[in-house]
Amino acid sequence: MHIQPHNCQHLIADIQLLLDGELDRHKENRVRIEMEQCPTCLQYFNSHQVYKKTISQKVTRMSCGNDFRENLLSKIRGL
Amino acid sequence: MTVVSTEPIHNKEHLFEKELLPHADALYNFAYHLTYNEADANDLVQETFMKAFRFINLYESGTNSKAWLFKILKNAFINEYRKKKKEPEKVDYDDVITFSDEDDDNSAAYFDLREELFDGIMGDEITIALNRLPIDFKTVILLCDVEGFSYEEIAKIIDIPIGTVRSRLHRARNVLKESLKEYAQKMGFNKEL
Repeated sequence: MHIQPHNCQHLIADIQLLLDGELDRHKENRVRIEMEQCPTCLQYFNSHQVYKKTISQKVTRMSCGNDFRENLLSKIRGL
Repeated sequence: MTVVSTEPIHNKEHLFEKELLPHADALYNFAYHLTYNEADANDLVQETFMKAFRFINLYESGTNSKAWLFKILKNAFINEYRKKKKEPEKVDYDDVITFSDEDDDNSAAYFDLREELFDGIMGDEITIALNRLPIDFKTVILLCDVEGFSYEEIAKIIDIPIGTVRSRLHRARNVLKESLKEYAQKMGFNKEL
């Protein structure tokens, strides 16, 4: 089997896919093994994991409220 | 025991209430970040639900109702709000910036965004940085990193190929990370970097 030489840019693209849940288990395992051997890629993995967690937790979440829902249902029923 | 009416109109209402309405908060959140205005977000979500109800016969119960609603909202936003407000013509960043894995500038990707750095940045600042992004960039980040849609779902919601979702997300994140890094440096959160 031909093994591609390590390329940080390629692996970083794959790390994003990994953390987005877009890789199958086989490909994910390959990325994890390769990542462990490169401090730059491992640092990127940790950093991107922090980014993902922070964005999902800290971006302001807005809610429409119950009045909005009730109004909407009234309008639907009035159609 | 719940009795479901066999009347078609009641079935439509039941379907609407059980499968579509639970996504109201997520839709409102998406609309708010697109418009950055509570009244506009309200109008947009209301319009989305009214359209969804009108075309509910096209929706198959048990399928991906959230993605369906997000697609309706995205189309409503583009078709009406952007035209009304006469915003500058949309720039397709995928056309302007040639992307490939080989020649993409990954400089921002190597930023060391440590947990301590993010601890110092408040949610408001992250929200402001997100809202400063070009609309196409903001949209993919909201759909992927905030709402957790898969690339395939995002591709369907915004009508672009999966490969474009991937490359746009990559660039959008680099721009956002750069913006957060600059903010952290300005505020002295990461003097050691």
